[in-house]
Amino acid sequence: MKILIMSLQRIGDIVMTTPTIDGLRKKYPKAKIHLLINEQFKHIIPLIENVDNAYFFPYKLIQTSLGEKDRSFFESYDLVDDLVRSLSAEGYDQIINLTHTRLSGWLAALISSPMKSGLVLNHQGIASFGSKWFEYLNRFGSRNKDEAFHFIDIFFYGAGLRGQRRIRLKETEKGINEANKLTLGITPYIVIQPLTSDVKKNWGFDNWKKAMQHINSVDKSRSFLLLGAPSEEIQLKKLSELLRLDKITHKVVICDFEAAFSILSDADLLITGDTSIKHIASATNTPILEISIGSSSYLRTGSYSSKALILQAKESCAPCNHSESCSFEQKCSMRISPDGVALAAQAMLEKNESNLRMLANEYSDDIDFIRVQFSKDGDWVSYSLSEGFSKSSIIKWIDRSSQRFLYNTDNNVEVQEYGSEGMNLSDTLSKIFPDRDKYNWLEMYKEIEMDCESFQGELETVLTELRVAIKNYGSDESLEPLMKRLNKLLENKKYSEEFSTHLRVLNDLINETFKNNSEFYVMKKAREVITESLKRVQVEIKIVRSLKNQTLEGV
Amino acid sequence: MIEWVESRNNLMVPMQNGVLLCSSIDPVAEAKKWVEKYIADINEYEVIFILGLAGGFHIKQLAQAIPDTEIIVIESLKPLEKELLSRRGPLQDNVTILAGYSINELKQNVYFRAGVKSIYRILKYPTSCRLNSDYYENVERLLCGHDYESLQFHLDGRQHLKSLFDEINLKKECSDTENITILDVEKSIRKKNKELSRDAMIFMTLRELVR
Repeated sequence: MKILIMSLQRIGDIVMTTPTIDGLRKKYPKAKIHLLINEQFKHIIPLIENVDNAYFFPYKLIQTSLGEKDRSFFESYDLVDDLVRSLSAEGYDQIINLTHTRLSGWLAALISSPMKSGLVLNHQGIASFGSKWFEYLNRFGSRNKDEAFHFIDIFFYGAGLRGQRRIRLKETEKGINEANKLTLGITPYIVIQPLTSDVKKNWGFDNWKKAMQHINSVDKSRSFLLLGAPSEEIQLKKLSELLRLDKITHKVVICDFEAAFSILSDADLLITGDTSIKHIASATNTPILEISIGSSSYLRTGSYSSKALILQAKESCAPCNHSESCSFEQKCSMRISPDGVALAAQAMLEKNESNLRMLANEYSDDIDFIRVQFSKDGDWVSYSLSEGFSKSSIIKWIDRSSQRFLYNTDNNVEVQEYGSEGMNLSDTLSKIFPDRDKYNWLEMYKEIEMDCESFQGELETVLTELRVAIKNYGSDESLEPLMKRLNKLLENKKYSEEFSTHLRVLNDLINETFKNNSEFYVMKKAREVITESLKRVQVEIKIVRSLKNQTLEGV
Repeated sequence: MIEWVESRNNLMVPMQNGVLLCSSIDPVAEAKKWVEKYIADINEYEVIFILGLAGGFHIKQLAQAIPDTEIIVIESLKPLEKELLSRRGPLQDNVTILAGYSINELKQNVYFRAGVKSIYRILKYPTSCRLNSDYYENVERLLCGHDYESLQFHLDGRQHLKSLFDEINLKKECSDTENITILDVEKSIRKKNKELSRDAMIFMTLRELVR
C-alpha cells in the first residue's frame, strides 16, 4: 500500500494534516506514506512523523518563471511535467488531497492512482471529492461565518479514518540543542508570537506591550520570549525596544520550527495570533491563548488543543475574507483589550477555570472566550464560555452531530448507533453547560423535539410540492409560486434561527444558482438540498429522542 | 578585433574593440561575484545557457559550482573561443561552447536543440551582452520562446505539445503574438471546450499559479 497525501498550502495547513497521517499509519502499519508540500516549507518535514518520503512542489520557482520574461516559455510546464511523472511512477494506491485549491485539484488529476479523494478535477474540469466530507469542505470551507467542523476533523474523516486524533510532532536533537542555547537561564517563560502572516491578524505592538506590562505587573517570575522567523527579526526588535523602556524582562528569539517546537514544549503559556506556531504548540502540553481577529477563522483552524483558549473579537464583520483588505480600521483588533488578554493569561497560568468564566461574562460585549475540548469520539469542540442556554444553541450542537453522523455512516444505521451518538453529545453538552440540571435538559429536549418535528413536516410539504412541480414542468405553468413558497420557508424567523445551517444552503442555492441557471434547474437543485435536509432533520429527531430518553432514565 | 591585456593579478583578459570584456583588476573575484548572484536559484535546472564567453572566468567558476549541470555557452565572436582555448586549454567537461553561430545555425545545432528540450535557465554575462546586444537579444528571444516564431521552434522538438498547440491555434486566438503567455494558452484551451488532454491539464494547473 502506497499513499500520497497532498498539502499544498502553508505551514499551519501541513501541521494540520499530521493527525490524518498518524491515523493512516495506524490503519495501515506497513503502508508507505508520502507527502507532497510546497518547496518553501520543506523545513517542517523533520518534525513530522510517519512520512516515508516527501516531495516538494516548486511553487515559488514556477510562479517566478511564469512572471519573468527572460525565462523559457516551457520551463514551468517542464517543472510540473517532471514532478507529475516522478509522482506517477511511484504507483500510489491512493491519493488524498487535503488542499482545497484548483491548483491541487488539477495536480491530483494528473498523478496516476486508482483511488483519489479530496478535490480532483477531471478532463472537463469538473470537481469530484470521493467523500462527503470533502464535498462539505468545498461547500463551506471558504465561508468564514458558518458553523463548521475543524479542518483537521474534516481531513481525518475524509480520509476514511475514525477515532481519537491529535497533532503530534517529533522533537529533534537539533531543535532541542538550539532551544537550550536560546533559552539558557530564562525559565520559566511565556512565549509571545506577536506577528502573523497577514497584517489583518496582527494585534499591534502597542496592544502587545500593554498586555505584557499588565502580566508583568502581577507576576514578575516569568520572562517573555518574543518568537519569530528570521524575516520578522527587524520588526520584533522594534517591539523589544518598547519593552526595554518599560523594563519588561524579555528576549527576542529568532529560530526555525525545530527549535520553536522545543521552546514551546517548555513554555508556561503561548500567546499568539492565528499562526502556524499555534498549530505546532498544539502538539505540546503548553496552554495556548489565541487572539482571533481579522480573517482568522477559529471554527476551522483554531488551536487543536484542549489547553487552548481562543479570544474571538465580537465584531460583526469578523472573521473577514482572507483576500479582502479591511475597510473598518481593524475594529476587531480594538475589541480585544490588552487587559482582557492579560487577565485571561493570568487565569490560564493559575488554571482557574471559574475566573475564566467570570472574565468571559465581564468582557462578553467585546470578546468571545472560546474554550476548546475534544468530544468522546475525538472531534474538536469549541464553545463560548458565556454561551447562553438557548434552544438555538442546543439545536446547533444536535445539527452538527447529525451531520457528522450522516457523513460517517451508510444508510443501514442501527438504532443503538443513535443511542451512542446521543451519549457522546450529552457528554459534550454537559461540559458546555455544567450548571444545568436534568429537568432543564428534559424540558429543552422536549421543545427541540417538537420544533424538529414541525420543521420536518414543513420540509416534507415543500418537497411534495417541488416533486409535483418538477414532474409537471413543461406546461405553461410558471414556477413562480413555488419560488415564493421557498422564499417563505427561508423567511420563517423561527426556522431560520433554529435551523440556520439547513436554510443557509437553500438560501445560497437560490441566490447564487438562480443568477445563471433556469428556474427548472434551481428547482431540481432545491429538491436535492431539501431531501438532504430532511434526512438530517430525521437524524436530529432520533438523536434528540435518544438524549431525552437518557435524561429521563437519569431522572 | 580581440586583444588581450594582463590584469593586475597577472591574468590575461580579452578586449573587444578596445573595451574590456571582464575586470582588469581581478577577473576571478568578479566571476565569483557573478556566480554568487545566481547560485541559489539554479539548482533545479538541467542545463544553463550562458550568453557571453568573455574571459571564461565566470564559466569556470560556475562549472565548478555545479559540476553535474550541463552548461552551454553562446558567444557571438568565433575568434574569442579559439583564442581563449589556445591560451587556457579546454574548460570543464560540463561546458559546451557555441561561438559565432547565427540564429539559424543555432536552431540546427544538436547541443542547442537538446538543451532547449530540458529544464534550463538563461544567464547573461552583462559586458558581452552589452557589446553585442542585437545578437544576444535574438538568442535570448529564441531561447525564451515567448513570440510565435520562437515558440514554433520549441514545438518542433516537442511533438506531443505541437499537436495541442496546432489544435488551439494560438496565432488566431492570441492578441499579441510577440508576447504569448500561459494565460493565452489557457484561454485558447478553454475555447475549444472539449475533453482536456494531459498536456492541456498541465497548462490549466499553471494558470492557477499566474499572479
